[in-house]
Amino acid sequence: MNCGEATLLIGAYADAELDAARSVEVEGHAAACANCARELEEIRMLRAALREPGLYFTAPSRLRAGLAAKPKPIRRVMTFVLLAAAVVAMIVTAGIFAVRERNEATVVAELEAGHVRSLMAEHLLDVKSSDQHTVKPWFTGKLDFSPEVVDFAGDGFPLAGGRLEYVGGRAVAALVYMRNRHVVNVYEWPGTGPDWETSHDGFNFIAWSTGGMTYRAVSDLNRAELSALVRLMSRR
Amino acid sequence: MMGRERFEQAVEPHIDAAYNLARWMLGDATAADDAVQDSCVKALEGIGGLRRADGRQWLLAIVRNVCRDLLRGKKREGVAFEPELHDREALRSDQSPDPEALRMRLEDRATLARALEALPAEYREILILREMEELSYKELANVLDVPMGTVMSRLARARERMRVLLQGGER
Repeated sequence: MNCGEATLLIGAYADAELDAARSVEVEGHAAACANCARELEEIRMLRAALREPGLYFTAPSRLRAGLAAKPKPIRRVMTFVLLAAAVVAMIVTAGIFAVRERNEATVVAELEAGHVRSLMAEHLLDVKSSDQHTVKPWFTGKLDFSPEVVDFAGDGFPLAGGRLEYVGGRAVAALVYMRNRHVVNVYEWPGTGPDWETSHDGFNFIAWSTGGMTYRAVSDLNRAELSALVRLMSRR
Repeated sequence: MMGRERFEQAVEPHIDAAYNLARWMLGDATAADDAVQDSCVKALEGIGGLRRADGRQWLLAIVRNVCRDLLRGKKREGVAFEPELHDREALRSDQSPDPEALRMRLEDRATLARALEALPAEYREILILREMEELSYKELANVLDVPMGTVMSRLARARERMRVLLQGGER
């Protein structure tokens, strides 16, 4: 790692936002480079200074009291109660769907963040290999399951490697495939779920499940080509 | 669940965070009071449609928008203005000759507060949310409504600008 790369990543390192592999690289560079070590030190000094309790403004008690008194619930009784009863039934039904939708939206956001992060830091591959027999054992011991890892170089989707990711609060396997210049991240963990497809911020997402594993593919690749990879993966 | 209960659970525990942000953004206790009151009313009105599970992120996002609107208004009146932001600004300027000088300035609370106040609003808010509230990049992206990449670069520029201000002025 050179200074140019380190400068981009030092802040993220100080903020504990890098994965283990990148952290080690930044640490290694900072140990050997006085300028970058100083930059890191300055970020930490600034942080310590800003966390001085004397700089923090706590809400004055009159504000708290005002807020506690202010927003009042409606108390216009009978019609309201009757109306509410009818509405509650609808809300409960809608709520169930909304919760599911929100969970899915959260997952999409997490997948996207993971994908973008992997592009920003030039791959973020924890294990860099096109050999499925290298990548699969690498995950052993890091995950509580053994992911399916297959190279599709013969079909135009060579395996580039893999890394650990967190999705929906659990550790999952992220496999990285290449398609020409495009990067495809495929997240994999045990489970089943509905198949779905969506697009967000120019990225395509496809979810599917097969053989006791559930998958999410994310890429800026067009949907037809991404679907081709999904077909290959669900065939095995 | 009633809006009021949801409000008490999801929003009220974060009043300090809301006030601290508003107070630093607006630089004035009365204005901060009003902004937080206003934000809480907005929060309560929107409570049924609470999109984010996390009340803190949600309230901070509202406060941040309220403050931004107020600052924009001020700017039009010519009361306060900020330096224009340039995305092309270098991530790192020349290193100062003396890191000890920086340490001493950081330890002087008044100097530190002045530098923070002199920071453009966009940089001030991200530093406060990151260093005082310890929001993760993902939470910052949610609150500020920008992509993760912008969080990274804006934070880097904010820190750099802060360093320059502490070392005694603009480049």
